[in-house]
Amino acid sequence: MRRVQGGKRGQMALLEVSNLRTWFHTREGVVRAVDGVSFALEAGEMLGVVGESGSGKSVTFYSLLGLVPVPPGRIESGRALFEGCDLLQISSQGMRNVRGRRIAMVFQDPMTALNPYMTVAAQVAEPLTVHEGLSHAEARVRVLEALRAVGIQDAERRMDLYPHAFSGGMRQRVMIAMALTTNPALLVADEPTTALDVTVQSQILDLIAGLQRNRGMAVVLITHDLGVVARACDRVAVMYAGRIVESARTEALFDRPRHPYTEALMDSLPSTAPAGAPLRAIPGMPPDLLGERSGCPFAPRCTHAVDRCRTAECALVETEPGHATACIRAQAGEW
Amino acid sequence: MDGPLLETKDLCVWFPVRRGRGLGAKKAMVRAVDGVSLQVAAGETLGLVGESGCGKSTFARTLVLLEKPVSGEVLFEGRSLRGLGARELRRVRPRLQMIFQDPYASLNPRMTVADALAEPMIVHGTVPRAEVPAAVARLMERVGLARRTMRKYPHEFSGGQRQRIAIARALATEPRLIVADEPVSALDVSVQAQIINLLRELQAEMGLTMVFISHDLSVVRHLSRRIAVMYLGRIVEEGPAEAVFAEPRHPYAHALLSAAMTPDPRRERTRPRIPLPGEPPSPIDPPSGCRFHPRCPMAGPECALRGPEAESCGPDHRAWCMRLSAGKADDASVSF
Ligand SMILES: Nc1ncnc2c1ncn2[C@@H]1O[C@H](COP(=O)(O)OP(=O)(O)OP(=O)(O)O)[C@@H](O)[C@H]1O
Ligand SMILES: Nc1ncnc2c1ncn2[C@@H]1O[C@H](COP(=O)(O)OP(=O)(O)OP(=O)(O)O)[C@@H](O)[C@H]1O
Ligand code: SF4
Ligand code: SF4
Ligand SMILES: [Mg+2]
Ligand SMILES: [Mg+2]
Repeated sequence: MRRVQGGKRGQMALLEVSNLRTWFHTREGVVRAVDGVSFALEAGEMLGVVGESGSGKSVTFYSLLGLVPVPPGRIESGRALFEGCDLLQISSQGMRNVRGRRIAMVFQDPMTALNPYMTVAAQVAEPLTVHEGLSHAEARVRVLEALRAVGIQDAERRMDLYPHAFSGGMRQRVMIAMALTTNPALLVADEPTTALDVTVQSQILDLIAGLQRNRGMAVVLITHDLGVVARACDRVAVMYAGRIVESARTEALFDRPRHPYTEALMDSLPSTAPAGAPLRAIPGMPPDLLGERSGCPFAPRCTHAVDRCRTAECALVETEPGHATACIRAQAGEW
Repeated sequence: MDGPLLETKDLCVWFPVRRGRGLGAKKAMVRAVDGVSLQVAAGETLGLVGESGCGKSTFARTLVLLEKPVSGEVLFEGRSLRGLGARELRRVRPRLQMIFQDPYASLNPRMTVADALAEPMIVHGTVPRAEVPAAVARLMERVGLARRTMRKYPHEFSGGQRQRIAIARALATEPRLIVADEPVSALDVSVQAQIINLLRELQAEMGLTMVFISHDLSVVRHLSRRIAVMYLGRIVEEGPAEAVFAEPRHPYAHALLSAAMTPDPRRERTRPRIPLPGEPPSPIDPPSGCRFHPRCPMAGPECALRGPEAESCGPDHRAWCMRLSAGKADDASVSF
C-alpha cells in the first residue's frame, strides 16, 4: 500500500498539493480547518471536492490562492506545486500573476463577487487590460467572445449593462466568462451552482464541462451535492473535518465507497432510499474543529468504529490503484 | 369532514411596485401568485416545486395568513379565510403553522427553548397554563431534543437542532396544516436526513397535512404524495407524485424534472435532458397566452394567443398545456 503523496507515478501533475495545513488562531483556540491535505490534479481533469459545511473545502483552495485572511489564518505546513512553482512560497506579485491568469476562481454567489457599479463589459475586461495590457478596443472584442462562449444571448447589447440587470444564472455565466478570458490552466469553482435553480444548475455544469473538454482546462468543482459530482466529475475527493478521507475515480467511488463517511453520506440521500422507508440518517453532529484531535475524525458517528479507530493516525492510503481511503479498517481489509 | 382540508380558488397575490425613477415612475404589479387553484386533502403532503421567483413562498405565506390575496380565496376546513373576524382568526391561526428555511432567523435569540415552545401554547391558549411545562417536555422529546437543553438559547444549538426547535414550535399549537418552505436547505447534508425523517414520522403519527416546498426534487418526492409544479405564478401540472415524477406531461415540468441530478454517475452521463432556453420572464408583464410559450420547445402559434385549460392526463393528474391532447408535447419519461 502506498501513502498518497499527491502526484502520479512519474508523470508531472498540473497541481500537486502535499500535507497542507491551514489553521485559524482564534480567541476560542486553534481551528484546524485544513489538517494535512494531499492530492494531485492532472491537466484537463475535473476533480470534485465534496464534504459537508465546514469540512475545509473552500479553505483548502483559498490557501493555494493566497486568499486566506492572515491573521487569524496561518498556513502551518505544506507544498503546492503548480506549473513548477510552489504556490505557498511565491511572492505576492507572483501570486497576483498566477491568480486570475493561470488559475481562475468562480464563487457561489456571483452578486457579491461582481461589482454592482461597473458594467459587465468593464469587469470582464479588467483581467485583460491589467494582466495582458490589451487596449480598450482589443479587450472589448475578447470580452464579447467570452460572453458568447458562455452562452449570453444578445451579448453586444447586454455587455454594457450593470450586473443587477442579469439573473442569477446569467451572473454566474458572467463570472465564468471573466475567469476564462485569460485562458487559465485551472478553474476552481466553489459551489458555482448552489444558489441556482435546478434547470440553471444543469446549464452551468454543461457549460463548465464543455469548456473543460474543448480547452483542456482542469477544473476543481467544490460542492456538497453528490448528484453534481456524479454528473460532471472525473475524480472525487471527499473531505471530512479538514482532511481528505477518500479519493477515487467517480464511478469507483459511487460503485464501492471505501470510507464509511462516504458510504453513510450516499445512503442518507432520499434518492437512494427505498420508497416508503425512512432515510438512513447519519447519527450525531458534524465535528468540532477546535483544538487537537486524535484518531479518526469520523469515529464518533461511524457504525464500523472499533477501539483502535480512536487513536490511530488515519492517513490517506491507496487500497486499489487510484482509490485511496483514510479508514484504517478499509485499509486492513476488515470492511 | 368531507372535502379537502385546504383549498385555494383562483388565488391571486400581487405586490405593488414602482417602475422607473422620479417623475416618470409608474405603478406596476408583481403578479407573484396569479390564479392558483389547488386542493390538499387532510393527512396528505403536497410538494410544490418550480424555479426561483415563481411564487412558491408567496403562495405559502398566503396560506398561513402572512399575505393577503388581491382576489380569489383560501378555504380551510371548508371555510373561507377571507374577512374573518378577530375571534375567528384567533381560532384559525394556531391551526396553520409555517416552518422556514432559516431556523436561526425564525427563533427569538433571547428566548430559551422552553420559552419558545411555551409561548405559542400560552398566546393561543391551546394548552391550560398548568399543563404547559409537561407539554413542552413532551414536544421536546417528540422532535428529538434532549430535555436537559430546555434552558438553552438558540445560539447554543447546531443548525439541525435549531430546525428541530422551529418544528417543535410550529407543532406547539397542534396545527392541522404545516407549510414548510425549504426546511432543510440550510442544513448540512449529513443532518438533512435526520430532519426529513422527523417530518415523515410526524406525517405518519400525527396525520399532519403539509405543503412542502423545496428546490431539492428528491426530497420533495420522498415526502410528498402529490406534486404541483408552478411556473410564473401559475400551476402548470399537478398530480400524484409517482405519476408526475415518472412521466411529467407539461413541457416545463419535464424540463425541470429532467434537470435534477442523482448520485449515479452512469445514469447522469447518459440520460437525456431537456434544455430550457432563455430566462424566466418578469412577473410584472407575464407573456400572453401560455406563460411558458417564449421558452417552450413545443410551442405553436396558438400558444401565444390563448391560455391553456387543464387537461386530464391520468387519474387525478392534470396539466395546463394545449398541445397535450394533440400528442405534441414530449412524453419521454424521466425516471428518478
Ligand atoms: N476567517 C476564519 N476564522 C476562523 N475560522 C475560519 C475562518 N474561515 C474559515 N474558518 C473555519 O474553517 C473551517 C473550514 O471552512 P471552509 O469554509 O473551508 O468549509 P467548507 O467545507 O468550504 O464549507 P461550506 O460547505 O460551508 O462552504 C470551518 O470550520 C470554518 O469555521
Ligand atoms: N413583498 C414583495 N414585494 C414585491 N415583490 C415581491 C414581494 N415578495 C415577493 N415578490 C416577488 O414575487 C415573485 C415571487 O416571489 P416568491 O418569493 O414567492 O418566489 P419563490 O418561488 O418562493 O422563489 P425562491 O425559490 O427563490 O424562494 C418574485 O418575483 C418576487 O420578487
Ligand atoms: S477508521 Fe474506524 S472510525 Fe474511522 S471510518 Fe474507519 S472504521 Fe470508522
Ligand atoms: S401550451 Fe403551448 S407553450 Fe404552453 S406548454 Fe403547452 S405547448 Fe408549450
Ligand atoms: Mg465553502
Ligand atoms: Mg421561496
